[in-house]
Amino acid sequence: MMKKVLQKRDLVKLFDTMKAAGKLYGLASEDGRYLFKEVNDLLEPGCDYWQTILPPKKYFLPQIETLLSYRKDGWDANQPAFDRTKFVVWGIRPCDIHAVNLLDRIFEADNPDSHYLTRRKNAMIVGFTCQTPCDERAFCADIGTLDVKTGFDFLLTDIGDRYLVMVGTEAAEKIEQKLPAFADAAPADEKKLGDVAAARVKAFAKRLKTAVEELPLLFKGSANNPLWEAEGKRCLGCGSCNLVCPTCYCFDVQDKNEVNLAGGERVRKWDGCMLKDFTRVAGGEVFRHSKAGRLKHRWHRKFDYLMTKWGQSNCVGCGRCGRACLVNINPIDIVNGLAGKS
Amino acid sequence: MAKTVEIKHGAADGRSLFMPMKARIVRTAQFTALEKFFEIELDGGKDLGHKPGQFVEVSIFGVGEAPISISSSPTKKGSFDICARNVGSFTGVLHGLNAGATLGIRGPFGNGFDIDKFLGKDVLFVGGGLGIIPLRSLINYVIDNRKKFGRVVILYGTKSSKDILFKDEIAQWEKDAGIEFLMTIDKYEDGWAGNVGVITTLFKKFEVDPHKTAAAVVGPPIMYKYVLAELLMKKLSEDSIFFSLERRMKCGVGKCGHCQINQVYCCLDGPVFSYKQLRFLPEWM
Repeated sequence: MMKKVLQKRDLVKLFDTMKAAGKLYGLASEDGRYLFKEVNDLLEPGCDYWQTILPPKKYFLPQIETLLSYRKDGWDANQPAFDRTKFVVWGIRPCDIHAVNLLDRIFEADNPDSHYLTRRKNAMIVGFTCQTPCDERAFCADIGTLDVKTGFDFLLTDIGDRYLVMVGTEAAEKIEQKLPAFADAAPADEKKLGDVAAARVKAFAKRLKTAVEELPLLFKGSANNPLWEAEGKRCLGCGSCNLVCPTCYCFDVQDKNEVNLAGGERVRKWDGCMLKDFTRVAGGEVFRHSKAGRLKHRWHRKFDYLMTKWGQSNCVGCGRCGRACLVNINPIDIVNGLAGKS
Repeated sequence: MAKTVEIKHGAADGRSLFMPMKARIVRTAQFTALEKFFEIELDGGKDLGHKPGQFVEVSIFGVGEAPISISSSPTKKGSFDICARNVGSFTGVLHGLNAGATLGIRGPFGNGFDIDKFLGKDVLFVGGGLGIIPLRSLINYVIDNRKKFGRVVILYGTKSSKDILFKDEIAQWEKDAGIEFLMTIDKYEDGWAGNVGVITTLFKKFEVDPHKTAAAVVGPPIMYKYVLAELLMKKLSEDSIFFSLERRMKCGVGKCGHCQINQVYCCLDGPVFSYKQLRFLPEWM
């Protein structure tokens, strides 16, 4: 992979170039929290911010997206809808890049989902390596998502007076070639990259008492662990954890009619496995009745079912669910509780 | 564990997994107060190309989409059958449609019954309530390929005699010397000469050779536990007992997450599972 350096004062040049490549979603701080939104100016560089409320997933798998439009009076007028808007997400942290990589695999596998894949193909990602943990909720160092090797166009690491920039795609290479601000990385710069990585090890304390590769076994053996009932009793079943999760991708499909009922759109909306109606079928049967059962399901998806299938944890350790949970149910306590060590 | 399903539409760039094929209702029949039968033809008379036990996503634009079992055998060409109970907003509108109406169809989806596991064997069908609808796809397949199968026993149970579906076909099954058909209703009614009691009461009425029998079971979730016990007591092996499971298969293509049972997706890995598989899926029951 190509390594370049960029002076800190030239970051705005990369920003402006990316802005020209498509709609740019960057970081903004509102009421003391960070979020991704369309921005025009480089106000937040992209490093060392508290993790955003919603992950950048919302640009790849929007909260509501149109899958197809239909007319009641003519079948041939029914058309699939694909969003081909070029866009850039600026300032993604490595854990969120890992999450996008997981979504890419999921939407590509089995039956490729061209709605997601079309949007993904038109996206560029500018990531920033983390120097300090967001807060005590994050456990990226345990999961192995503190660093990322693929899935970005540019990945910038602060090495003091400048950024070391990994150029991850051909599209990014083309942009890099046109931007004179980029210089080749010297061996001294690469050494600094290593120093920076070594220096932050202490800051990113390990929080899980189980090694990541042992998580599937831990969860497979947890079926009768009283922790699920205990946590289920506290859980409000609100689905906030689903909402803020960068790898939760379950969805519902609904028809939205125009007011004159002559046509409408079939839309895909985020759904959440923590909601009781998630498994409800016609006739009223619900297959995952208890909150304990739903919690168990959600965490087995992250650390057993999908992890076993893909060979990679489907939780990226961003900590958002724990921050969003009103009763402080969080993956660190769940894993450590199941392991019998807290 | 998930297998790639061959999709006959969508998938490629510029095409959507969610775009249904145009289809038309060619015939309907009001079976009971709540259950209506639909014979459906794909645009241009295309064959659906399904296997017994698979399902389709039926679309009514402006209302939505619902997974519904295919009730006809693939040996019937040119059209396929579904039958639905009027229980919700989608089926409510579906029930208002008649011959000539246009529908959308996606699929077929799911694994269906593995015919190889039934070939050359005695086949025991256990259908409870609406379970007879998907089961009929395999029953008619077996009847149409009668020589390839051994003895055929069909058990069918409903709440009352009013709830019996496919009455004309059942009359033929009863006449057919090659089929042992046993019917039961849950509660006694005046004029009913047949068996009364839940479906498990029929298991005393026949014997099977457990070494050469495969069972296909479809019914409400509550039935499965008791039928399973009966089948195990008849010494059927775990890999010759097949259940078709109902879940909310919203997308049908292994993405939306609603139909997940532990580590498997009902829409990709099911809806048909052997008991041997289900033993590793505690959420199945």
